[in-house]
Amino acid sequence: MARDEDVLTTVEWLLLAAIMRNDNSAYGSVIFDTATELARPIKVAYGSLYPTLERLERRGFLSSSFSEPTPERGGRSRRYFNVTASGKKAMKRSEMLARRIVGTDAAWGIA
Amino acid sequence: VSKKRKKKKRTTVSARGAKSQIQSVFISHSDLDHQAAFDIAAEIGNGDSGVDFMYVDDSGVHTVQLKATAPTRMPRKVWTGLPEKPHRDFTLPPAAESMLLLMSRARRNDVLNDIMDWYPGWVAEKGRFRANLACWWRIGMAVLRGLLDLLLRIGEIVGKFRGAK
Repeated sequence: MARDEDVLTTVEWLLLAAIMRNDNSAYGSVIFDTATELARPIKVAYGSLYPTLERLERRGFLSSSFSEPTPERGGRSRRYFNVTASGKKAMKRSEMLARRIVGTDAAWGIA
Repeated sequence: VSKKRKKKKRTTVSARGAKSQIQSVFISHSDLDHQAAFDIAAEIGNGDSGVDFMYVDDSGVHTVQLKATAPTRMPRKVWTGLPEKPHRDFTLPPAAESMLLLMSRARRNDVLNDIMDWYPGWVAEKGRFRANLACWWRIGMAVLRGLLDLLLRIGEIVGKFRGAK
């Protein structure tokens, strides 16, 4: 039985999908650009990017690792995010739940 | 085995000229020697007689007038080295950077990395003024959302604590 915290919100699902689209390893700006591209014409708020990624990491759906710091970035390193096995399961679970709720297209009057 | 620490040589070049379109350019690279530094300064000055060339190395600051030393027509050279000090297009407005102090160190690094990815593209696409606005907007959103997230988490903890009572 899935608990409510195992089900993903739309933004969470979108960010996980954006990481998966980039060979399951991506950093902030790439995740945001991919998510914006996937969600178009709906706009994704940049402000919600890191809080959502960090929440997913706390829940075990994402893992992160730091790259080597580079001088042109002022000694800062990049944080790469990867979708974990439980993250992939959560994506599948949310997708199945959405399908179950919607049922068939005919039930909503969608051709 | 004794490890001998090799002192990293650093040379900084600055070219400044009133007549030149480029008023001031700084290039810094660890592997730059005197001749290479001079060549780059001459390239920046492009043979402009009003351009002075200043370079800094381990022995101190040196100033040379290109007028006195550079040939009339300098050979074109392409600088392929990686500058440690980025070009103006790759540096963010300082006030926008200071706004990031409201964030945690980890989040600040992430946001700065992202903005530095986008900023040169924005400058090229929209111009500096609108690029700065876009930069402010993204950083502002990140700061506000970060604060809101913190409040929500505090609310969650308080809610759990009250629920447990």
